Parts: sequence; structure tokens; C-alpha cells
Amino acid sequence: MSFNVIKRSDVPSALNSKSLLITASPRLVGEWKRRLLLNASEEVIATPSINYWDEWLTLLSNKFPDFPLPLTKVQELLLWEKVIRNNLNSESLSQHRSLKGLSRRASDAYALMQNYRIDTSELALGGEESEALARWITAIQSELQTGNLHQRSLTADIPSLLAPLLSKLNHPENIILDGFELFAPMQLHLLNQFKEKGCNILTVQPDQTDAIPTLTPCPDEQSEIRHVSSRIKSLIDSDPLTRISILTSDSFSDSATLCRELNRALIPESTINPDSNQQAVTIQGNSLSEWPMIEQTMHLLSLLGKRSISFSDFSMLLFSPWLKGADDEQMSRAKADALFRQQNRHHLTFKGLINSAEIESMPAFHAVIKEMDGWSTASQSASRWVQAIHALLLSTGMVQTGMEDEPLRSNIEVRQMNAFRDALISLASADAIHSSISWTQFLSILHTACSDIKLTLPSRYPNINVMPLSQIPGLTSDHIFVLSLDEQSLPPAARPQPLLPLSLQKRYDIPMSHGALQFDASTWLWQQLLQASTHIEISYTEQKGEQTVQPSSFAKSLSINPAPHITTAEQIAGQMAEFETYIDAVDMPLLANEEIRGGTAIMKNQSACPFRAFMNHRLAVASLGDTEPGIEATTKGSLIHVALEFIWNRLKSQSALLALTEESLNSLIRSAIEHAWEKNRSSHSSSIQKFEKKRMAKLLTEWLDLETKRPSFKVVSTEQSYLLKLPEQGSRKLPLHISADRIDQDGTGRKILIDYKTGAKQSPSKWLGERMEQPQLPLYALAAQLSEHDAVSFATVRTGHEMGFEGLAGEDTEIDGIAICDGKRGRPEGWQQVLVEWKHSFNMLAEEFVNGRCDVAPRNSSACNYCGLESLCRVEETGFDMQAEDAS
Amino acid sequence: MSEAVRRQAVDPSQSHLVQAPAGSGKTELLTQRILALLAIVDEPEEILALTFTRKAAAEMGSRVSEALDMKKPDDEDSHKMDTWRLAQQALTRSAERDWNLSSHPARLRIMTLDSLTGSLARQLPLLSGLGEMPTPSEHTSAACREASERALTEAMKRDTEAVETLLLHQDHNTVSVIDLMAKMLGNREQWLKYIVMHGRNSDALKKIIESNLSELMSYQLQQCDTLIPVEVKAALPALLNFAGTQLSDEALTAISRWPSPDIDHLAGWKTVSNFLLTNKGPQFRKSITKANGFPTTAKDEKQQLLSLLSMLADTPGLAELMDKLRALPDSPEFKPNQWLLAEALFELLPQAVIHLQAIFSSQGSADFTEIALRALNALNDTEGNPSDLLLKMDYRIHHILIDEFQDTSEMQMNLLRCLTSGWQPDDGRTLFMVGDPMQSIYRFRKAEVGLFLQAAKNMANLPPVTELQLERNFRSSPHIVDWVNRAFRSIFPDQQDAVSGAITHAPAEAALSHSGSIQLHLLEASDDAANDNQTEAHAIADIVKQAAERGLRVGILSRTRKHLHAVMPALSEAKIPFRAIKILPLNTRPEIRTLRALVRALLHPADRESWLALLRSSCCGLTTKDLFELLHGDQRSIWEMMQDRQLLERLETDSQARIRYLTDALGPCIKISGHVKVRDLVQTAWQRLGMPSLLDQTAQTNAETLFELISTLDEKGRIDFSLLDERIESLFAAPDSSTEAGNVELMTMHGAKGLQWDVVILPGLGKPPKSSHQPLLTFTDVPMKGEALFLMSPKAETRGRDRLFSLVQSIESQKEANELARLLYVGTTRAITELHMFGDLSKKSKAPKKGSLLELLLPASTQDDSCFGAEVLHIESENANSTNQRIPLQRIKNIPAPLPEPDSEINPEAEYGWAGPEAAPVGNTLHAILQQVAEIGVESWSEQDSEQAEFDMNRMLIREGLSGALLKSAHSRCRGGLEKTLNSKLGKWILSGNHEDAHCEWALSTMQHGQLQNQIIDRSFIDEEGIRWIIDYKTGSHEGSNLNAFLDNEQQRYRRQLE
Ligand code: SF4
Repeated sequence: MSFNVIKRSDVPSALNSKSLLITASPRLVGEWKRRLLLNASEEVIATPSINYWDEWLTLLSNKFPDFPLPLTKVQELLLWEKVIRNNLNSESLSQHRSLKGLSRRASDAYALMQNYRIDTSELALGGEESEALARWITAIQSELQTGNLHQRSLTADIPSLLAPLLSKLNHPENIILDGFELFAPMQLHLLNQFKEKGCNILTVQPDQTDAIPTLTPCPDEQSEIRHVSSRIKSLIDSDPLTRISILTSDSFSDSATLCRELNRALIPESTINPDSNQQAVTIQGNSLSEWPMIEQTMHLLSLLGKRSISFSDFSMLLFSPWLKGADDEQMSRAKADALFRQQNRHHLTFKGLINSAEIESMPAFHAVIKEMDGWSTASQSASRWVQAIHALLLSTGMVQTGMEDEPLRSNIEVRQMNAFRDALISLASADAIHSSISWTQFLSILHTACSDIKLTLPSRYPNINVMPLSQIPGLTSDHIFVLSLDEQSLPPAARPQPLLPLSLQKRYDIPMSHGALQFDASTWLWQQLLQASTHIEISYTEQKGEQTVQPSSFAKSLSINPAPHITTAEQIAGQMAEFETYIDAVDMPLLANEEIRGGTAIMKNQSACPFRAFMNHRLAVASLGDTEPGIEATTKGSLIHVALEFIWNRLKSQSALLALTEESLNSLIRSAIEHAWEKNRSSHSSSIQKFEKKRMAKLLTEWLDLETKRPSFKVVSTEQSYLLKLPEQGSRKLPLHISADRIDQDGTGRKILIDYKTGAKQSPSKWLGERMEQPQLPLYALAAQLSEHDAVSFATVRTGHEMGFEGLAGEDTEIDGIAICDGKRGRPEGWQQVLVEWKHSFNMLAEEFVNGRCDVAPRNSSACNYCGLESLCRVEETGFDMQAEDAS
Repeated sequence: MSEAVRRQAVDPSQSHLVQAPAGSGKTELLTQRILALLAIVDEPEEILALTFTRKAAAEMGSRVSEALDMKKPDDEDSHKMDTWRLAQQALTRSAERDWNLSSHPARLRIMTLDSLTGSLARQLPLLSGLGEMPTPSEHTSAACREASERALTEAMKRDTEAVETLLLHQDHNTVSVIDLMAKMLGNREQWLKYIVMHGRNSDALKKIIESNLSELMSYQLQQCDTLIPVEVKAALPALLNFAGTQLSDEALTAISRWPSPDIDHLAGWKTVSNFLLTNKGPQFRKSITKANGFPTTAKDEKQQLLSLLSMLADTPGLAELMDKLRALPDSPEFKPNQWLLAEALFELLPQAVIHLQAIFSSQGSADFTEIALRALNALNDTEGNPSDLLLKMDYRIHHILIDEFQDTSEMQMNLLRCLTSGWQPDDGRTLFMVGDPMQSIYRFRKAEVGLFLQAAKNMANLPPVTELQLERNFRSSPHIVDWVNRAFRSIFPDQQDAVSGAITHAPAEAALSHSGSIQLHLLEASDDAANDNQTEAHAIADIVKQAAERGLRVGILSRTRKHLHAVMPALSEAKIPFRAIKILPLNTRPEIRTLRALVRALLHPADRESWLALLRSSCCGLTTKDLFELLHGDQRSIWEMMQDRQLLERLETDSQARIRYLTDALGPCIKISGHVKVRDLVQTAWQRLGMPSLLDQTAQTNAETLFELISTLDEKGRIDFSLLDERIESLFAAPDSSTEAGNVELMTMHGAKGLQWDVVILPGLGKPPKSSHQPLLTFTDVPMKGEALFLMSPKAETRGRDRLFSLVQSIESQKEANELARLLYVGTTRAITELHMFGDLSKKSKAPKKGSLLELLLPASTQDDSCFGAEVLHIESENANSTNQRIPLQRIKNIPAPLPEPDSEINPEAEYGWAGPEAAPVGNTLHAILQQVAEIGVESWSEQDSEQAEFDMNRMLIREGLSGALLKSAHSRCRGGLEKTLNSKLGKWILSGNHEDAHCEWALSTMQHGQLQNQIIDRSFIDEEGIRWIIDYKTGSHEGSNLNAFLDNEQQRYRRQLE
């Protein structure tokens, strides 16, 4: 069927009360209204009545009082989901990741079928997917026959339901169509009916322009965006009202950067305004569900009904700025977060939180947690969920009550919440599909509703529009920029519709279904583009990630307009700031009243790096850390320490141990473990406790077995505390509180100082040298004033082959793992000498500490492992290679 | 020879597998084949060319496009001419069939395997179960850990035995259990099929894994058996028997004939191996004594045995194989406690998979494994066999080409099997695979080189192919080609073996004739690793300098990135510009440290460390002394202290100014922390701090990279700090993009594949690999019998060696060792004219360190340090100390002027009041009904009209989505509203039909600042006194907006129209 054509410039005069202008897209409706207004002599006119195709059909259908009412979008999607769910067996249902997505695919496929007048029967033998679609369609149709949905229809049904009724309508004299490439069979069918009634159908032909587009290759997407932004800036500088369209091809992926760069170019002051509620150009905004306020609202909702939540979920609540009292309690909430991290509160229960002192000290937050705890998740109707959610949001502060004392919200925040509430309200319509709905399902449809809404900020230059290239047909602009027009995007590869058999799609020439069709569509689109403006600048990126890219073949022959090399704004201005070097290592001696708490850790840190010791022990700097699942190594270690202390306090000697029957040994171990847990203050679930107790029992049994195999000994002391005051010389001293796990005495009267270790083994080389890596044992040796007959040893209480002693002595102790200082095989020469050197080292380290040495001087690169202060010390900037040792 | 092979390879009627070594012109060959195929197909989409990277796909696409556009070359005999001819044929076909091929290159289906699986899954939303297509993501380890943790936590709540077993096996280290599970989740394609097949049937699972282990063991026996000369098999049993009798050794006497190569005779094999090999390892005995059962009297027997032994010793690879047999477990069965662990895992993992899918689904993303598994599921029927492909695929694929076939993973192989299932010989469909197993180095991406070997032997369940071999090397000098031939003939294994990924060397033949050199530079290691690194780095810089002077391009390639860290400063020192590609981890860069601190400080006011880092960073530059004055003894947050004027007065004026600057810059940002996206927050703060003016171009690009990362990690206006750190670690500083830098490139050997340089330098060959933790559970899969057999073993809790565990572990380590040799091959074959290798020898042994690449170049067994004929040079260690010079810190000199406070909003908007879900529908409906009344005129409005209106109201409310009780109440509100209006005097006046110039729902358009504005006035008319009324209906009691403001506004807007 062919239609007459009308020139675009002739349309305004042709439009009168008997003519209709119908466009292919809503955007084109706006464009025509603008054209007609400009064409009119008055400044204000009655808005011309122009509609886009689907809108027009709906208006027509409204004229029939018994026309089956189409379902709302929410209802349609839920209905598809319902029939699909009923249709899948439970196994494939469990495999299915997104029924929602499938529903959309099905609904799209159905709309195409309606538009192309494809009967459901044609899906037969089209493969599993199409056959399923056919079943779903039948199921939907039967749903629309009965009950609540009787006399309702799907939006896609409107044309076919309308077709037989058209003859009853008054027809216009002229129907002018603009922006259509091809007409689908259903469109032709409808138009034909008008035509047969004598209506004149015209299609708009664009006016010829003499556009000579240029092509700009850009090295990458970033520079392409910068190039276009700077071009636009210069255009706007010379005429702020000039109309510019920025068209993005399918290969263009980074709208966020585009938006940011345009803001930077056109509203430079926005880059330093953290709360800018405006964007430079009209560009589609993010989904509502991606705005922080709505994300946090949804997060809050997602935690409702749970008994326990993870720390990261909880932390998110603590920092949510919209919850009640967030401003007043900001610091306390941040500190609570830090504390919980430190305590490794990896899982939290609402009940536990409500009763915790930290939370109680923040009354507003406490109230929020209580509100959340009271939530009931029993299924109810969607409209009830709507009410309940709104009430909860009010009581937690996410929605404001309008009282004066509430913090002022920015316009964009107000819009987010308003849009969210619109989305929420729209879900009440689900009542028509489900009389009752579960909490999880409701949350899921709420999420979908929020994803479907795009929230766009107001623009400074509404005359600049960003849109997909495919929307250009029919539109015009003073200037056009086309981004990323590469050979993959125009003409693109075929992209058939899922769920419909390919052969069917080819037979009906369904858009995008095969290569030749794509080529024709692209050729048409290219023509439309050329007629849309007299100034067209096309660009593409030569490199995308690691891929080299070619321009679209349509643009290949255009004259090349090289992009100037664009650097960032700051560099253009040439305003590099001036630097100065400075020395930052002035000693800061301990103040008279300065209280230092700590034991071996001070020596360990001072030995590793003076800066680190200074920061940790004098300025109380510690990494924030993170929680981790399960029981942490430190707790495991301290439990074992306490249990062993308990055991040796009872036993006092090896002979007592040997005298125990298996039963009494086990019972001793059991009591030791119970005792250790009683003294432990960390909060762990009962199952964790149970597992750890089992592990401890096994470990302790193995360890005690090992203790039976060394020469006999008595335990002289356990957890003996010492107060060392170092350095020995000098007036200002550092008090070090340390406690030695255990001191044994063997048959010869030798003292053996033992330090339990539950971590990995540490070889003695780490406790030698001036700046030792593991100073614990040496420090104990110094404190306990060991003599040259005595020995020191780590006792590694750890499963597997690492279990055992590792120590040093002057003479043979007959204990496996305690080496004699005989100078052989890398061992030190002379035990006495070692003891003297240790003393010397500690005096030196302590002196450094009290003198306030604080330079960044790590012992070696491995000292920096697990330090955590790298950002603060800036050690790499001093030319230090933190990975030298790792690389070897 | 190669020419004929190339022609054969291009023939579009035949299927081939082509082994194309380094520099053999593979891409050209692929291009030619695609062109040849284009000339015979019905649609271009029938050809599917698959690659592993987008880069390769793009390159292949552009090579085909270039060929289609190319002018006829002058030289009749060149490869180019062949290409041109083929292109002309393709173009003729295109013209015949209206393809517009040269204008429509997107019709060529040249894509990565990942995008193929993606498009299949997208095309089959029901069967793949992916209704909504996820975004493929490479960073899914966090999701895997999360899923594992959820599964574990759930199980802990149920307090199952499985959890206890697992946790205690891992020393009650929850994190390591989670890591183990997460690792298995990341490789779920290996085992998920068994769980799908057998569900919770643990016995069946056990049987399968045991039978896989048994297959492996028998395979090793058979491998050994085939190598043993028949003479040995015939004569040895009698000799063993003899020795057995002498020694009264029952095991030996029990051997009456050569044991058959099946697992039932394993004990016999072990006895034989122990007898023949020394205790020291894979060596046959060289002497025989009484202790072996041969007294001096038994001269003949002894002689006979010795000659058999020497025959065995001459069989390459046999001693190693027999040695392996000795280490085999006695049976492939798990010990009960061992299986308990495996069972526990298999109880938890399916739950973890479910969680993983839920996490993916909530994030809208998935790993490539998920998409590929789902695509495979969709193509297969319930039994796992491909079915109905014609209906499922969007095009019928007639020809498949795969580039870099040696990098195929088992899962990709399955896909290929699926796509080619049902192909018949001579049905015109062809398969073409090209690659080089000697360059298979991507095990970490799941590449399984054994598949290449299987495919070459037509044992991979693919359509039959002919194996072709290219030999000519169009890259390196003959000298280098010969050295590589010599070295790798020895370095590569003697026997091909698909199971352990052993590839033998295929020699190349130089096609070019330029000169070349190979040098090995050796350094004796000292105690000072940093100094050694620097010595090597300086020597490298010298070579680079000389090469640069000669205008040569240099590639510096290393096994790990760290090996290049010392080279970079040495090059900078020598003023040699270079491009380091993915070498320097971003997290060590100062601008990144500052930016990280900024992110944390803005999001967490109590993060003391990050706040201090900001105060001490170059943009503020407080000294440690200042920090001490400020902080000591004060537990408040630093942000609070920064605003404490009294406190600040303790500091010097300059320091005060620095703090004030920071406070001014960050104040407005702190206020809105959490309100906006993290990137917006941080980037604004960055700008306010004036950071861009402190950074050079590279540093700015680095910061930009981190901003991008921040965008992707943003979760509800916050960021998980640990995840941020984890991800920063895998980012790299931007390379210098200037042209001068392009002549010297630094990258890893893995990254260098497919590239070439005039001069290639391989530093750090002497470094041993990082020692890795022995896992407590090991798993892998091996290509056997045309499929992938999954193997796993937990380490049993025994003090001694767990042989089953070691067996599985050894497969992994053999695969790794074999790949290491190939990595060296890839490194050395990048060189066109010069190859320089650097390595250090151990200080103690003066030999290469164990596990280093140097060990391969100077093998201990050959007692030869000539490095296969390379020139060996020794470098002297530099004097230490030069390393310890420290650069002083820098900070901004003049504090910039404070920035203005951002403007506050001019027209603050307000949230709506809440009027319930029916408010809007009621409003809309009432507007429409009032319009009806006004259009008819209230005077003519009849009872009947009211009835009709009731009916219309109902329809309108339903159309708005209302139903049930809501509909009822909304309807009565509408009815009430209408009645009230009709009964009120004012209402009647408004709706009167007697006004002049009356309008309802009056739509007006005007221009404001060049923009079209549309407005609708509910009701307007001129009354009897000539006054123009504009009326806006309000249907609820809660709708905001101030009445007077509204009226002013309206009048303003329509003034002109109304006058
Ligand atoms: S990272 Fe290294 S240099 Fe920096 S404070 Fe820690 S130990 Fe010292």
C-alpha cells in the first residue's frame, strides 16, 4: 500500500480541524508542537493536538464505552508472570533466575505478534521456546475471560480490538504520518480502513538539507566525549539558545561520563558543588532504583522480617543520612560502626541490637531498629503493603512528616521520594491480579517499579538533548553530534527476537531479524540523519579497550576532521600548583604526662618502623578493619592461653600430668575449656562455641601429650606479670607491662620460659639482630632476668606438624626444637652473648621511643606487610620498594 | 612445504586442525579461509569465527574488511595476491546475493566465545533460565565468597555434621572454608554436572569420583606399559622370581608374568618399579648386588638384568613414569574420614550455588561460567544431549573457525561439541581450528591444552579433522629460530600427554635471513635482594639504551609483574621513556593512596587513619609534629578536632591555614556524604581540594581509573572498604601513552603473546615462584575419554603422606610445570633479532633456584651451563647503599584561596502529603467528569448524564488500576465530589454553559527561553462582568502548593494569552 507524501514545510498549513498528525515517537510530538508554535503568529497558542501512534489508538479506543479496558503496566507484567509461573514445572522454576525478565520478553513478543498479525497457531512446531509462548498466550487469554479480569485486555490487543470498530468512528479528512520507516501489517490494516472510508493518508517527507557531515576519529571514548563537550561549549558560548542534538549509537556505552563532561564544560562551577541539583543538558537520568535515597529505602525494606543481619547491612543503616536522628547522632553512629568492626560483630540480631548499650545510647537509631523489628511479613493484599510500607517509612524518618524540626531536603531528594511514593502507589493495582501477595514478592515488584522509572534532573540547557540515534527520524536540530558511529553499530548485525521462531520472523520481516533488513533500516536512518540538520559532526573511537574500531561504512567516505588534542581543564589553564619539599622527622620526646599503654607490641612496632610505633602508640592510630565470619584467630589464641593457664595451675608439674588417667585428663581439659569460655567476652553463636570447644579439646590433648615427652619439669609460674622500665639509662622511661605465659624448671634447675603461640611458626632468625621481627621472647627473657643456664621457647600450639617447641638455650635442654647457641648452621654463637645483645637492642628501641623518633624507616620491605599505614606514611614516595623482598 | 600446507588449510571443503607456531602467519591464514568460505555460503552468518579475546575478534574482522577493500597487489606470487583473489570471489558472491558485505561488516560473525554464549543465552530466555540478560562480570570472587558464606551460615544454624566436619578439618577457620568453597564455586563447571545428575546421592557421587581416580591410575599404568620393551616384559618376570627366591621376598616371587596394565595389578607394578628403580627417584639401577637378590654366583642372571635395565634406561620418560607409579595410592578409594569431608562439601556447595545465582540475579550480573553453563543447558535436552539446534540457533552454522585453539577450556569444548553435533562427514560443513599448543599459557583462564592433543587425534568428540602443521617462522632470525629449536627440544617433555598437558617440541624453520643474537646474563645472588634487583635493572637499562640508539623496538617481558618493578626506576634514571602495560599496581601510587583516604574519610568520620592520611598528604602537608600537637591524648574524631579553634591555635599559622583549607574544601562534602553517589561526592571533594592541579597527566588518568572503580562499587551511596582495597589491587597504573614511550614496552610474558619486538629482554628468570600454601583439599579435571574427568581429594588427617591427595595434587603440579616451560617458549619467541635473558644464581649452590625459569635454561641433569649454545655473560654485583637514598616528601607550597560555599537552592520543593493509593485516580477521574459536565453545561446536565458519569467513573478508576475495596471507596469519593460540586452554587457557576470563551482542560503552548512549554488549565471562561477566570480543580485535602503563589504564577504565565 502506498501513501501520498507531503513536504515537511507544508504540514503546518495542511493541519486544520479535519487533519490529524500522528508521529512514530512521543519525542516527535513535542517537536511538532514546537514547530507549529514557531509557525504561529501568536505567542501563546492552544496546544496542537498531535499524538504518537499508540497514544492515538488508546484515544480512539476510549471512544467506545464497552471497549475492554487494558490492564495497567504493573498488572500486565504480573499477569504474564503468573501464567508463566503456573506453566513451568517446579524444577525449571527453581532454575529460573528472572521470571520478570521472561515476562517482559513474552510481552514484547506478543506485542510484535499483534502488530504483525501473527496468529498463535503459527508458533506451533517452532521449538520449545515458541511453544511455551503459545501456551502462555492461551493461558492469558483464558484469564481475561474470567473473574476479576473479565472484559479486560492487554495493551497490545488494542489495535486488533479496535480494527472492527473503526468504521463506527468519524474519520478525519487527512491523516499525516511522520517518522515511520515501515508500517507493520496491523498499522497498515488500520490505516487501510481509514483510507477506504475516503481519508487521505499522507507521509511526511523531510526537506532537503545540504548537510555535509564531518567525521572525527578519537583515540578513545573518553577523548571522544571531551572533544564533543568542548565543541558544544564553543557553540553555546556563541549562542546559548542554539538547538543541539547529541545522538548516541548502540556502541556508545558511557552516558554517565558524557553527562559529567558536559556538566564540567557547560556548568564549570558544578564540579565543586557536591550538591548540584542541575545538569547541563537533557539526558535521561538513572532509574529511580539507582538513586542513593531509594537504594537505601529499598535496603531498609529488604532487612525487614529478618532475625539477624550482616554487619555490612547494619553498617549501611548506621550511615544512612535519611534515617531519624542521622545528623545529631552522626558521630556516635560512626563510632559505633568502628567499635563493632573492632569487636568483629559479623552477624547481628535485631533483638541483640535493641538490648545493646551502644545502640541504646543513640535513641533515634534505637527507635528505628525497634520499628524494623516489629515488622510482620505475613502475606496481605498489595494495597495493604503499600499502606504499611508508607507508615514504616514515616516512622523511621525516610519519609518526612512535614514538621519544622526535620532537616531540609534538597529538591532532588524530594523528587526521589515523591517518585518512589508514586511507584509504591502504582502497585496497589496488583490487587486485581493477586488478592494476597507475599512480602518477598511485593518487594520484588516494588523494585521493578523503581527500576522502570527514570528520574531526570532539570537541565541548564534544555535546548541540548542527548538521545539514541534511532530517535532522530523526523526531528531537526541546529547542530547534531553523533557519537561512536562505528561499523558494528551502523548497520548492525541481525538481532532477532527471542521466543519467536526465526523462520517466522524472517517470513514476516520483523525488524532486526535478518541482515538485509538491518541494512535497509540503517540506510533509511542514515538518510533521516542527513536531513535532520545542516551541521552534523560524526565521531567514533579508534580504540575500545583492547579492540581497534573502524567507523561505520556510511561515514567512511566523509571528510576527516581531526580532533584537537584535549587535555583536562586544569592543564589547559596551565595552573599546576607549586610544590615544596619538607623534612618531617623531628623527634618528639614523650611528654611528662603522656600515658603510654602497651607491652611487647610497642617494641615490635618500634623495631619494625619508628613511624609506625609513633602512630600506633602515641597517636592511637589504628586501621578501621573489617569484620569476618567465624571466630577470629585472636580469640582462638586467647582461649587456648587461658585454658593452658588453667590446666597448669592445677597440675603444676609434668609428673602430675603423667599421673592422670585418661578420664581425668579429659575432664581436666573439659573444665579448662569451659573456664576459658567463661572468661571470654566475645559474642559467638552456640554452634561456633561448640566447634571451637571440640577443636580445643583435640588440640589440648595433642599438646599435653607432647608435654609428656620432654624431660620432667615443674611449672614455676603461669602468666607472670613484669613491669619493665626501659631504657635502663636515661631519666624518661617507658613502662612496659608484659606477662610471660609460663616458666618451667627442669630437673637440672634450668628455667625454661615459654610463650604460647597459636599462629604460624617463627624461626629464631626473626628474634635476632638489632631490629628483630619477633621481640616477644627476648623481651620476656630480659624481664625474667634469665641467666645463661636458662632457655626461652615458643610453644606452637597448633594442629599439624607445626606443633612443638621452638627456642634457644645455652646448653642442651633435651627438648626437641630448642636449639643450642653453638654458632653452627646459622645459629647464634654464645647464649650469653645473645642475652646481652637483646638487652642492648631493647634499650636502644626504648630510647628511640621515649625520644620520640618518628621517621618513616621500615626495617625492610617485609616490615610493611600488614602494617596498614601506607597511605599515612607515604613510604613509596621516598623511593622505598615495598615489594623488594617479595619479588625475590 | 608450508605453502602447500597453507593452500590445503584454506580449502573450504575440508576440516582441519592447524598447528601454527610463533611467527607462522596464522592470522593471514584465518583471513584467507574466511574469504574462501564467504564465496560459497548462502548467508555470511553461516560462518562463525571464534576467538578468545575481543581484541583478536576485532583484529580478525578488520583483516577481512581490509581484504575486501584492498587494491590488487603488484606481486603475482605474494600471499597478498592469494588474499586479494579470495576477496574478489567473496565480493562477487556478496553482489550476487545482495549482502552489501563491504558496507555491512557486522554481518560477519567474528566473535569471542563468551559473546557467543551470551548471545545464545539471550536468544533462549526460557531454556537458559536467563529471562533478563545479566551483565557478564569478571569480578565475581566477592559474590562467590558471599554465596559460600551464606550457605555455611545457614548450615551452621542447622548445626549439621557436614559443617562441623569441614570446619574442624580446616582448623575451625571459617574464612578458609569459605575461600575453599568460593574457589570451587568459581570452578563449578567441573563438578556441578555430577550434582545435577545425582542430587544428594552421596554414594553415587563417591563412586563417580573414585572411578575417575581409578581411570587416571589405569591411564598411568597403561602409559608406562606401552613404553616397556617387549623383551623386558618377556624376560624380566623370571629374573624377579629368581631374586624373590634369593631374598625370600613374597611379593617378588608372586610375579610369575608381566603384570597387565590395570589397577588390579597395581601392587605388582609397584613391586617391579621398586625393584628396578633406585630409592633416590626416577633412576634405573645401574648396579646389581646381593642385596638385590643376585649373589656373585648368579653372574648370567645379573648380566641379563643389567642389559634389561640399560634398555629401560634408554627409553625416554620411562623412569619418571615408573617413579610416579610407586607413589600411587593402593586403591582409588577414599578413606572414610576423607570422604566425609568431600561429602560435607557436596552438601554445602549446591546451596552455595543457589545463593550465588540469587546474588547474581540481584546484582544483574553473572560470571562467564554462569552464562556459558546456561547456554549449554539451553542447547541440550534434559539428558544433556544437544537437541533441536536448528530451532534454537538464530542461524544455521555451517562453518566454524576457532583461533588460538590451544586456549580452549573444557566448557568451551562442550559448547563446540554441541554446535557441531549431528554434523555428517561430507555434508559441506567444516570445522577449522588453529593454534599452537606450545604457546598454551592460560591455565589461569581455564585453558586446557590437552584438548588440542585430543582434537588432533580426532579423539575429542568433534567432527573429524586433518591435522596440518605450519613450520615457517616469518619473525625471528635464523640464529634465534635454531636456538629455540635446540633449547626447547630439550626443555619440553619427550612424550605428548593430554592428561598432564605435556606438549613436545615442534621445530620451526626460519623464513627470514637477518642476523640475530642470544645472550644469557648471569648474576650471583647476594643477601641484599633489593641490590641484586638493581644490578640486574641497570644492566638491562644499558641494553635498552643501546637498542634505542640503533632505533630498535624493545620488549621487556617477565614472569611476574614484580620482576619489572626494579627495572622501571632504572629506565627512568637512564632517561629512557617506556610504556609499562599493566605492571605497576595502582595501589602503590601516591595519588591513589590519597584518593583512597579521601573516600574513606568522607564516608566514615571515625576513620582516624584515613583522616590523618589526608592531613599528611601532599595536598595538606601537615608534619608529624603538627599531628602530634593536634591529636595526642584526644579521642575525638579528627573532623571534630579540625573545627576546634582553640585546639588549632596550638599550631603554627601555616599549619592552621593548611587545616582550614582542608576544612573549607571538605565541609560541604561531609554534609552530603551518603546523600549522593560516592563518585560524585569524592570527585567534587577532589576538585575542591584542587588535586588535579597537583597531578601530572598519568596520575590524573590513574585517579580517573579509580573514580571509575568507585562508580562500579557504589552501593547505596557507600562503598565496602575491603572490596575497594581488593579491587584496587587488581588495577594498574596507566602506561605512558606518548609516542616516544612506545619503543620500549614492559609487560608480562602472558601479556606478550602474539606480539614481537626487535630486542626482547627477559629479566628475573632466576627468581623462584612465590611459595604457595598447601591446600587442604585439591581438585582438578583432566581430559580423558573425550570428556573432562573431575578429580578431587581432601587431605586426610594423617601424619604421613596421603597418596590419594598427592595423586590429584601431582596432576595439578605437572600441568603447571609443563605450562611454565611453555611460558618461557612464548617469551623467547617474541624476539626478532636479539634475545637477552637475565637471571641470578643461588648464593649457596651457585645453581639456578628451584622452580625458576633459569632452571630450565641451565638444567642440572645435563651438567652443562652453555644454555643450549647461547652466549653466557656474567654481571658483577653493584655496590650496595645506592639503594638507600630517600627522596624527601613534597607538599603543596601555597595554600589556595578558599572556595565559595555552594549556593543554596532557590525554589525549595516539598514532599507530597500522603493521601493513599486512590488519591491520584480519584483526582484524574473527577477532572474528567467535571470536564464532561462543563462541556455540556451544568444547566443541561441530566439525571441520565449523572448515571452515565457513574459508569464512566468506574471505568476510569479501573483503568487507573483500582479494584476491589479501593475501587469502591474511590468510586464513592468521586461520586461524592461530583454531587457536592453539582449541589454547590459556586460549582454550578463554574460549570455553567453560559460563560463566554469557556474552556475545559484547556491545553496551551508557549515558548519560554527558547523551549516549548505546555500547560493545561482545568477550567477558564469570561464571566458576566468580563473577568477572565482561571480555575484549577483540587480534589483532595492534602495536595501541597500554596494557593496565592499558584494564582500569581498562573497569571504570570498566561498573561499574554488572557489579555
Ligand atoms: S607501611 Fe612500612 S613504612 Fe609505612 S608505617 Fe608501616 S612499616 Fe612504616
